[in-house]
Amino acid sequence: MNPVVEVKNLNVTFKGEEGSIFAVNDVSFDLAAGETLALLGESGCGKSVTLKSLMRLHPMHKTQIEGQVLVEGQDVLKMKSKALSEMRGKTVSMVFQEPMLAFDPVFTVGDQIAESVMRHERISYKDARQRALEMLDRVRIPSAAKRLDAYPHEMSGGMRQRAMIALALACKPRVLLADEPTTALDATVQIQVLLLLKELQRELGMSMIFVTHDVGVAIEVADRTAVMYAGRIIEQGPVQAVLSKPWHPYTQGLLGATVHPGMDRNQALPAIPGAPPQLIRRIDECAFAPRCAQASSRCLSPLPSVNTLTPRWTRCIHADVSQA
Amino acid sequence: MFAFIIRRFLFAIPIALAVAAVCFSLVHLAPGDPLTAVIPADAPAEVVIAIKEAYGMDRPLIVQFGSWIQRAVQGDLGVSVATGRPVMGDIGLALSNTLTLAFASAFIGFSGGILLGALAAFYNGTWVDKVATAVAITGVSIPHYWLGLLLVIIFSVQLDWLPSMGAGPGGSSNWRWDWAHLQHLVLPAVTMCFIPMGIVTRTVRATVSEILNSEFVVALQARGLRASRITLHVAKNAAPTVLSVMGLQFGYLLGGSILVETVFSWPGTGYLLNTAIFQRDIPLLQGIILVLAMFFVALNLLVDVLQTLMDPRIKRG
Repeated sequence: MNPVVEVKNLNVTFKGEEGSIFAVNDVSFDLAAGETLALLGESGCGKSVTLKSLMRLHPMHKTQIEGQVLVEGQDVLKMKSKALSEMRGKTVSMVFQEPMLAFDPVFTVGDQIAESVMRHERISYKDARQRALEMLDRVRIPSAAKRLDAYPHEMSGGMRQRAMIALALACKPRVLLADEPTTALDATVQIQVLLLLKELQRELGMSMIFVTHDVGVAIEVADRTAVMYAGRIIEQGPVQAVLSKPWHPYTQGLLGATVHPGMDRNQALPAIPGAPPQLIRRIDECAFAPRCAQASSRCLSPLPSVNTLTPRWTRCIHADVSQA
Repeated sequence: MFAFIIRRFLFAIPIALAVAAVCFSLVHLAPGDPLTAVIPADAPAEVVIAIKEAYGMDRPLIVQFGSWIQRAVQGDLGVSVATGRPVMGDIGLALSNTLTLAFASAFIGFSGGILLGALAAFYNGTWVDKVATAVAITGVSIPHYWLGLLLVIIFSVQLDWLPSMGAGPGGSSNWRWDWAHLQHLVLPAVTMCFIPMGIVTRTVRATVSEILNSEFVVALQARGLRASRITLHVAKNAAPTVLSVMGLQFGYLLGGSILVETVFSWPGTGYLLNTAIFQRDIPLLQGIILVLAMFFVALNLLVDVLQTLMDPRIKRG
């Protein structure tokens, strides 16, 4: 079966007055129908930028995008603006990190959902409101009929994110992009929202790309994961395999810095020494080498290309792949 | 909502009273006796006292203020010292002329300012932005009486396209909506529109570019909404801020047109105020200031109410 999303050799560069930022560097992945991919990595590694490329949401005149982003066979990067706006919200839809900032503060939640539905389906305002009500019910917002006329600031954080999910799913998209949708929520609400997302994904049969820096969240929601560092995917594979036996030293370091069962409570978490590199040039060698304990002189020359079509791969040339 | 309007209206009453008190006392704080202008310098002392009694000027200030307010509320602002006519009638006529001029200026200035400001924000950093910003800065920097004189020299004296004096043909002071009167309106209205246009441009530019940079605009794009629909969202978000600035500017147009009305001999409140000052016509002076100040208070009230209606984030409690 053809994948719903195919990203091939994606490069995203932001042109600024003080030079360029090479935010995403040669990223390739694909996504099958109904599958969930977690893009895992720390702040500034390019995971959100990669996600936004699927809808071409970057500021137009400052961004240079190369490569291919195929959604249902159509190249998003080559779409005319009319086709692009028809695809946005209909085929591919997005849940943002901070729903307070992603809702228009002066329109009611119900009207914003209805507006979106009316844009993509030829139905009346009344029917669109009815759909909005169904969606709010579906994401289990209590007394949904009353919440339809609420403004975003009149809702709690968890409720707002549910409403955001209702908005994103109102047109039954094929692909849902979730940009750290639980980061702004507190822990108990987080898990409820995650479970809700999984459940709705199953019901609607959609694919999902989930951006997160939280290893625990990735294990919870994803089938596969792609770990990103300094604008590149450095390791990719089934989520259980990657996170139980990581190949890349960065993934190993990331897991080492995460709370896990059976660890000593009084012990400080080991941190990876150093800081990620500035992306002011295109980095062709291993970007992690300066922080890596296993680095050798070979790591400082340009990395060989890897076959990204295999189910599991890593960019590290030292990784003991035979362990798998 | 209705309760909010009522309450906001009640709040306006003490403000109006305070404004009236300032208007009243300003005249008495100024050097010189209000009656020096009408009494001949060599008048005998008994005559001076008699006149003072006739105008009620022998009573304590607070009592004078009380009776002035009492009559003002009933629409009686006294009798002009210079002409002997009731002040209210003259002010009413002048006010309608000033309002005509203010509406015309506001219409040109606000629509121009919104257009320029929105263009500048949408094309932030490009030459469109730079031109709009330059126009805005020039607009607020040029003294309007000087601009008025310049326009008169160009369009009345040299080109002879438009009249430069009065509100209508033959120095008529009764405004009518016909072509002959409209011609008289053009130059003063254009002269006055530049300051509000500049200020509205700057406000719209700042507000709209801030909104365009906020995440929800990206989120609206991510929903696939059409550009016209996104513009509507941006406009509704910008409206409360822009509206409050426009309200203030309209107030300034009403009160600040003294110089422009004088340059164009426009028979409005500014022109009348100028006359009243030179003739030391105290009742007329007080009346005009009071009426203009009340307009300002009413305008602020209106803007507040509109703002609350438009922005759900403002608590109505």
